[in-house]
Order: sequence, then C-alpha cells, then structure tokens
Amino acid sequence: MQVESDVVVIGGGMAGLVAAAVALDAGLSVTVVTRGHGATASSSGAIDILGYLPGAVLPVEIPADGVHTLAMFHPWHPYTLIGLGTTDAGRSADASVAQVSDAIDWFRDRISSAGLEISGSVSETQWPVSVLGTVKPTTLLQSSMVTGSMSTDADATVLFVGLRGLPDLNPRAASSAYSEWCQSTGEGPHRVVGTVVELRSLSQRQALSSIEIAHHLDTDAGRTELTDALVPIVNNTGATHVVLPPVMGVVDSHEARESLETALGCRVIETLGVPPSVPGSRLQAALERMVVSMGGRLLKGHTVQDHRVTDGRITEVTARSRRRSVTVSASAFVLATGKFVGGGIVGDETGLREFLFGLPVFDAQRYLVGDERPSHLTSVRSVTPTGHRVFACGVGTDTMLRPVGVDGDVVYENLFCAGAILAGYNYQTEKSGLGVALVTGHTAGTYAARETKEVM
Amino acid sequence: MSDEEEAYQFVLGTLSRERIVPYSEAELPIVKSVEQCINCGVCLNHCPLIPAVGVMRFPGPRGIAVRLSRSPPEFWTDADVIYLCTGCGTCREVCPNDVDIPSVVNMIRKRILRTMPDLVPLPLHQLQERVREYGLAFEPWEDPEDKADSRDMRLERLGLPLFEDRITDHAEVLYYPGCQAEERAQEIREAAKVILEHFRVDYTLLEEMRCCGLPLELLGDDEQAEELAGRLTEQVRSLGVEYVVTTCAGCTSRLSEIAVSHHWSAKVLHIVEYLREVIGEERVRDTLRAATGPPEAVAVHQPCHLIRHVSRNIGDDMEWLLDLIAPVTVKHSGVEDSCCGGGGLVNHHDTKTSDAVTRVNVEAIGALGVDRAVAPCPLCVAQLENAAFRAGVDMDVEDLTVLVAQYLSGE
Repeated sequence: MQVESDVVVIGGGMAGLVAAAVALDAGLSVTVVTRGHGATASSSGAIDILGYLPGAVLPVEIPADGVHTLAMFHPWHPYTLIGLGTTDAGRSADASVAQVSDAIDWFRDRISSAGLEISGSVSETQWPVSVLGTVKPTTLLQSSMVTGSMSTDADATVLFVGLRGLPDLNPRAASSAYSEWCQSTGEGPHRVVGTVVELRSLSQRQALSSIEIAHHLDTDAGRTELTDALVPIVNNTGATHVVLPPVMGVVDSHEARESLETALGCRVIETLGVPPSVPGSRLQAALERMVVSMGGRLLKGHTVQDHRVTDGRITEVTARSRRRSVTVSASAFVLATGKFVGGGIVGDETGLREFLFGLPVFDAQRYLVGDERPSHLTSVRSVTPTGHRVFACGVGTDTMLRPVGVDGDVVYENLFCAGAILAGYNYQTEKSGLGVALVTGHTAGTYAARETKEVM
Repeated sequence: MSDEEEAYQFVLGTLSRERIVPYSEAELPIVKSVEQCINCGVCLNHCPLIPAVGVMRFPGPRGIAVRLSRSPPEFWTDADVIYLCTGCGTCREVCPNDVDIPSVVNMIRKRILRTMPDLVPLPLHQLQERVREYGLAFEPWEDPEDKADSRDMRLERLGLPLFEDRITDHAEVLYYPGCQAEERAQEIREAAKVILEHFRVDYTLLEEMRCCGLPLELLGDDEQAEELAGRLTEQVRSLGVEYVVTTCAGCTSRLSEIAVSHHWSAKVLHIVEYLREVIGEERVRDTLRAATGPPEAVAVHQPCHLIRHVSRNIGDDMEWLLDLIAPVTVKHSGVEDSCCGGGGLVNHHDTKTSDAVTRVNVEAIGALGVDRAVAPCPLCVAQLENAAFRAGVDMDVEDLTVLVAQYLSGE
C-alpha cells in the first residue's frame, strides 16, 4: 500500500510525537511510524531538562542558567547545537535557552489540551520524591507529583503511604530515606512517618500491580476506599502531606488528586514512577492523544525496513506490520527511534550501529565509536559524575539536527534527528533525557515543517 | 535411516517420555524473541487482563516471558493462567523489543495439549472435536431449511436482499466467510455478497466451507490446523483466484499467515481493505455518495486480529469507509482499539473473565449514546453484544460489512 504525507516521523516516543505535533501545528499532514513503546513509556513521568552540568556533583538550581552554561562550554551538546542553528556563536547560548524555554511553553499548552497537566519552567528546579524516598532535580512535573511546600516547610508532617500487596513503595524505607535527606539539607519537614493501608475490594489479591490500583483509583469507589482507610491515620498523625506510590489514575492524575485532597483535607502527592511506570504510560498516552487529536496519523506496530534516496534526499520509507507493508512518501523525515531501549542504536560485540540508515555513531566528544565494543565505553566504577561514555553515543548532526557522516557532511538533506538517537548528551548523569527529547523534537519538527514548505 | 536420524529419533523418544516437546524450526524465532525481554513491564500497563482480573490471577505478558526464560520450562505449570490470555497482541505491539507473547501462548498451549491434555479446559477439547468432525468451529445446522429460515429472518430484519450463492472455478476473487458467518451470523456472509455483487466483482464461494484453523492454533492443535491450511491452499491454487476476501478478523490474520507460509500467489484482504485498495477509493466514494437514510451515530470497534495481527492501517480504512456514508457520524469511545475479550478462546471456557475484559468497551460505548456500534468481525460483534446483554447495557452491535451493505442496497 502506498500513502503520501508531508512529513514522516519514525519513532513514537517523546521526541517523535513532539516533532509530529509541531509539524501538524504548521498545517502539514504527518504520519508517525512507531514500532513499540520506548523509554518515554518507561520513564518516571517527570521531564528533566537539566539536573546536573556534565561532570558536576551539585545540581542545577535554575535550568535556564544551566542550559546557558552548558551551551558555552559543550559544543556538541544538542542544546548547544540548536542554539548555533539560529544565531552566531557569540549569542548562541541565549538562543539555546530561548529555544528550550519556547519548547516548554509550547508543550505545556499542547499536552494540557490532551488532558495532562504539567507544571514547571526553566526558571526553577523542582524536587520530586521517588518511591525510595529519595529526591531528584527535575524541571517539569505532572501536577500530581509537585511537592510544593513539602520540601521547604519545617512544620509539615509527611506521611508515606504503602498499599498492601504493592511492592513498589515501602513506606518505612521511604520515610526514613526522606527524613535523612531533610536532615542532610537542613531544609524540609521534621516529621516524616509511614503507614500501610489496604484497599477493601482488592484485599483478596495478595499481589497487586500499580496499574490495577491506578485503574481502581480512576473510579469513585476506589478513591472512597483509599480515603476511608487514610482519614483516621491522617487525623492521628496530623499529616499535612500524604505521599502515595505512582498510582494516581491511568489517564489523568489531576482528578484523582483533587478528589483525594478534598476528602483528606491535606496535600496528596504521587512519587515518581518506576517501571512499569504508570506516570510514564500516562505521559505516553497523552502524547499520542495530542498527535491524534491534531489530525496526525499514528501508525503503530510498524517497523521501518526500507527507504529510498534520490539526490541525497529520502523520498519514501517502507514499514512492515505483522502481515502488511505500507510505503509512505514525504518531503521531510524525522528520525526519533531512540537509543538502546527504543532500538534506534543497536550495540553488540561488533560495535554500535544506527539501526535504520546505517549512520555513523559518535560519542559525546564527536569521536567515531562505531567499531567499539559497548562494554569498552563503560567505566569500571558504576556511579560517577561523568557517567558512562556509552550513554552519550549516538548520531552526530549539524546545527539543524541533520545527521552527518564521518567527514562531517550532511548525509540526507531532509532528515532531522531528535531525542535519544542523538550523540552528545549523557541523560544518565545530566538528568536531561526527556528534556532533550522534547526540545530537539520541537526543533526537528520545526525544521521538517520548514523543509516541506520550501519544497512545496 | 541414517545414524544421525536414528539418534535423533531416540532422543525424541526420551524427550517424549519426559513430556518435553522440542521446539520446531518455526518456533525458534519466537523463543529467541523471549530472550529479548528486558523485564520493563510496559506490557503489564496495557494488557487488558490485568485490570480485569489482576496480576494475582494472571501474571501478565511479562510473567509469561519471565517464566519461559527460566530453563527448562515446565509448561504445564502455566496451565492455570495460559488459557486466560485473549491473544489480543497488545503486549507485542507496545513491547520495545518485539517479544512475541501471543505466539508464546500458542506454543505453551500446544505443549500442554500434547503432554497434559487433562489440564486443557473441557470446552476447548469439545471445540477441537467439533472441528475434527465437521471442519467447522460451530456445529452445523441439522436441517438446511432451518438454516435458510434463520438467514432469511436476519436478512428481513436488516432489509438486505438475498443473492444466490456463486460457485464457479474461474473467478477473480474467493470470498471466504469463515465458520461464524457460515453457520451463525449468516447476515454477514450475505452482506458481503451484496457488496461484491454491487461492485460487480467476479467472485466465488467455496463449495464446502472449512475452518481457517485459527481456533486450533489457539488451542494448540497445530497438526489439524496445518491439515486445514494445506487443504485450503490446494483449493486456492486450483481456483486460481487473485484475491481471497474475508469478513472475519481472525480468518484475515490466519489466512494472511497461511498465504505467506504456503506461498500463495493470491492476496488475502479483509473486505474493508479490498474496497479501498482494489475497488478503489474513487469508485467506492462515488457509489456511497448516494447512500441515504436518517442520520445515525455509530461507534467503531477495531478487532485485534485486524489491527494488531495484520495492520493498524485497517483501522484507518474503517474510518475512511464510514466517513463516506453521509448519514453516518462516527463517535469515538477512546477505547475502540481495546480487546473485546472474545479472543484466545477465553469466551469458550471462562465468560466471566472475557466479560470482565469487554466491560471497558461496553461501558465506554454505552456512555456515548450511539445508535449502534460496529466492528468488522463476527466474533467481536457477538462478544460485545452478549457482554452488553449480560451487563444490562442496551446496545445495538452490528457488523461493519452489514452496515455498508445496508447503505448500498438502500439506494
């Protein structure tokens, strides 16, 4: 089967779906070809823009400043490249910050229309809690995860709630870890307690998954059960903040939070997700709704297997589903196939390869690493501020995010890369994974739309 | 027998005493795919069984993959959960590494059937016997007149004309209705004929309709499934047709699979695909433009065996087709691609579980307040209808083929 589209996006995670939505915004027809869920769906559900500068041990307090510094000193970082794409080197750091900020503003608005409330900005780092009771720096949060006054109010009483049968959050361990963090920073609440409650109608199930509870909390009956169990404990402890495992609704956490807060008379906060992450799935689903509601064509279950090139331009890709194949022609293409989880970059004993077009693979410093064994790109010590080289490997691009060959020349004029496929940033140590995906997705979508309009 | 062959047979004998069925050549890629499981659990968040029955009862696709990755697998220990899988393929679709869980489920069921048949639910044994005896998944009518009466009543209710069956040996298209439309939902078979006649398609039916073999694959009887596939292959070859057109989602995926494994030159297409790709967008648009009638709101259900086992594109084809019919307004439930619960033979032995899966669809479609829900699959239609009835939800469900035929014949 043969179909036409203005823009084709390969990959359906954060980067690909954002790129698609930007091109749709520009009034173009867009087809997203996606194989399965990648790292976005397994993410914590928070969007990290920049938590640490490369090699730094102290977190970034203001993401905008962090991006500015990064863009001055790290020439191959995707944030730096996109700034250089719009202005000359002298002012590019400001341009990088402006592009990050614009992408966030655009995203908050679009994803909210798709039913997911996101809060945060480049001017302030946020400190959500994990299921372990630890705290990490991030930039954008689903509204249910915002800790607000909890992290600063010394008089607050925080209650970590475990649910019987759900192994994801152990309230005793979480409350003691959170308490230690408060003591070490000298900020935050002095009283941190933990409890386990049982949901009446699920009491027959000795083992529970977070998704079952999330479905249950999407119903009035489920929320009532939880609040009935919690009210006496909240009253006894005088809790001002209740921290729940990441189970606050499958589609929308906003409604569940509001109803729980009203019933309990205190703040209710959900922790960051752990795989299989309900908040991650929630984010993935909202991104998909965003693209579909804007008129995008989402071709799930399809793997791109072939492409055609004419005069240095990709003209069409052929994707296979279980029993059919479809050829989509377009003027511009976005490559957002991810890294190791998404499958865009494949590593084995022979080295690292870009899966689809056979593009050369570079590390963060733009050294060619395609022939390196992935294990040679790791450090002996597992946790270091510099992290492992292998996580910063990927496709090298020019400042318009078009992939380059070993000679530095653009390989395909109308192919733009976004997200984890890109080399030059170490999401693991920087805490910048979904942020780079969002921002480069926004940029790649903009370039793809411009390219299409020029061809028209 | 060569020494090597003899040694192999000897080992097979030992294995069979140990109740071990070695992997076949065709199964190896499936087993290899399980090795790719990274234990992320994304599948758990999407498996329709988990919210329906919980991980206690059904450990989910990851649970199945994890058990299999331990060696040596004791397949029979999975008998209490493996028959709950509806085979929708959602796990395989969301999996970052293409782990082929639906095929794994069939593989395990095959081994339980061979080595511990007592653990197979009784209704599945009965189904197996039925196919063996009649070549059909449903018991045929005793009296052909009763069958005709049932068909005529259905056609009268729907206002569809009756065309005589065409059976020739030199047609371009073979229309393959599948067991359910042959024996039970006969209106679908007749509706497909209405559509094919309307577009003057040179088609034929089979002289004797036989099951496509999907139910056998699902219960693990791949030998009998293979027999049916071989028989159908001969028929398709001798007829020399260019297309095999189907109306059932399960048949579409099964026949598409056979077409590849048995090297058919004929192309298998669901009638929705056939209309768009072969009849052509323009001709269908021009014909359906004339469709009249009181306006109606319609909810769509997309069968798993079409969108996940064949291609998501068919979902687009359905929308395209309905958009051409002026009186029809499509309303979206948001769960149109969610499993109807009728697959994987679960509804044969555990309607409580299959209905729990269907509840999602029934509630969402029920809340839309549409005139009717449509699906291009007799199994989905029956499952949605029955589950809605049992849940006390007033809901009309019709096959998409019937709806299209109604508008074509109503001109």
